[in-house]
Amino acid sequence: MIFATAASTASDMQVAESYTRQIPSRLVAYAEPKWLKRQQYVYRRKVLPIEGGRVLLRLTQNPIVEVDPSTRECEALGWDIRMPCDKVENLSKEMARRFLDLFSKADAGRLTEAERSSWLKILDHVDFVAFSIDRAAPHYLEGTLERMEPVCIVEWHDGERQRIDWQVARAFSALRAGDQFGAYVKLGKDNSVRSIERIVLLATDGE
Amino acid sequence: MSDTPLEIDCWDVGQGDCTVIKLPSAKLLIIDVGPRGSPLVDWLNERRHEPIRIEAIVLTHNDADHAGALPSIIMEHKSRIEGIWMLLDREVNAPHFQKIFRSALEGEHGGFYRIRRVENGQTLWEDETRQSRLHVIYPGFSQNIQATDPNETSGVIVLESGENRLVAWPGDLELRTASAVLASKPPWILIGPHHGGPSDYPTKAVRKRQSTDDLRNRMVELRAAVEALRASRAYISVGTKNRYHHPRPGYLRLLASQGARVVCSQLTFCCERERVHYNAHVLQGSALLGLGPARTGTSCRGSMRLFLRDGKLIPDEFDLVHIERVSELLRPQCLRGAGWSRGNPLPNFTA
Repeated sequence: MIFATAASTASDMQVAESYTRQIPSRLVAYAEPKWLKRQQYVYRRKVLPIEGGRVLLRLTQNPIVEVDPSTRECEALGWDIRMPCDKVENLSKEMARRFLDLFSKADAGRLTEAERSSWLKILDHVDFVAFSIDRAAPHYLEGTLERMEPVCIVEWHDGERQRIDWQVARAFSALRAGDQFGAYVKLGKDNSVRSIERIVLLATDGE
Repeated sequence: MSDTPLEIDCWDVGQGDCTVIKLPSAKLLIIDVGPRGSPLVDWLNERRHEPIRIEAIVLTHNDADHAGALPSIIMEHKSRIEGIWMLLDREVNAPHFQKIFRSALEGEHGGFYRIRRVENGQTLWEDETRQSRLHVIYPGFSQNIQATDPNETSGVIVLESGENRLVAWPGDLELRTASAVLASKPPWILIGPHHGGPSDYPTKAVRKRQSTDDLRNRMVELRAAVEALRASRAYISVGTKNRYHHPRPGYLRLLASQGARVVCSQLTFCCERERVHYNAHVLQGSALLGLGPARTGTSCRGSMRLFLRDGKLIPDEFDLVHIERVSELLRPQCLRGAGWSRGNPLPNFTA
């Protein structure tokens, strides 16, 4: 169930539709029935997959979808997306597409005034840092393996010591404590290490 | 070509410094590269297949928060780099220096670029048609040799257009030294120094220890130093989660009280603890400008872009939105210093 709301959408829509067919339009204009007013629903999905799920777009709050019964169109508020209600299953795709479109334009410096304000609003509801981390390629880093047991500790080239999760640390299986290495490291939030690959041993002094 | 504005991107890299200048020739000139995991590395990696050239990478000094990303950049992009400028700010055999320097040296041995010394009088870039020049004004040779601390010998780089000094990057230099170096021609925008916590600006603990007279004298000196700088703006590149208590709220207020529009890259506890706790960004400047965000911290302004057009610096279009959002914070030090209080109209910094 994608939407959560007090009112049942489908039956209300049907009643509203039959009501508009029965009553002359000028009467509707004077006294609009309650169920013909725009209704807001909470869209329950907060994680939108991009690139087949390798990159995720995480929303910081549930989007609000406003349904206009008169046109049978719904609008994702703050996202500038309008679509027919019967196509609502594509909403997450459309949101991801809208995000990527604005992201690409911001990247190229081609945002129009309207797009800029839309991008500003969308960014308030999106975890952009997590999105960027998902997309980022591994960084080449150099460090020294201080020890493997009981926990793996690495001192990076900038002097910072970091504890590496044991699952990630399995990449060091061929190294000994004290070895200096270079590796491609996928960094996560707060520079946590997500994965380590393409390890090379660096020549130490005197070797 | 002379119509193309110079773009100056002050990157939010968390606790650290990084500025990318897009020259009219479309080449990049990078002043400090930020710490390990710098978003600049991601940004360059994404543009791996674009014909981007890096005219120079200039390191004001070799601290991890300014130069930590250098090995990552050199490994991936050494063929794009045309020159690296750095200085000797600690013992040659110091492990931190060796690790940074070794990666730079490998590229030079490979014939990719030359390493040159950041020293007073060196010109990094010059455009005669625009009368613009980016050059080093500190340290001199003897200042570099005599320094006892890496921050003491931090390079000061300035961008000048005609007779005006527009931007100054004093790295992590002490406030009084930075002021003495820059006072003859104050910059329009000051980057830092030292992430808003100049090492000569007393911390709370120091203030408690010092006698009242000493403290008063010190504060008079610092106030005079800020007055001499007369900057219209200050960009404080600071990380939310830094363990040095940067920026000093007193320094921010002092800058603001002198009429400077103070902008911090990230939000810190001194402005609003709750927002930091919930990681609620004030404005995601990096995303808005299409740049990569920092992996750590809560963005206040995020990255900021300046355009140099006709000898004048123009900030990007998110400047107003930012100040409006900052006014919603519980204790915005930048606005409090400017005498603003809730319910009053926002100060007109543009004037």
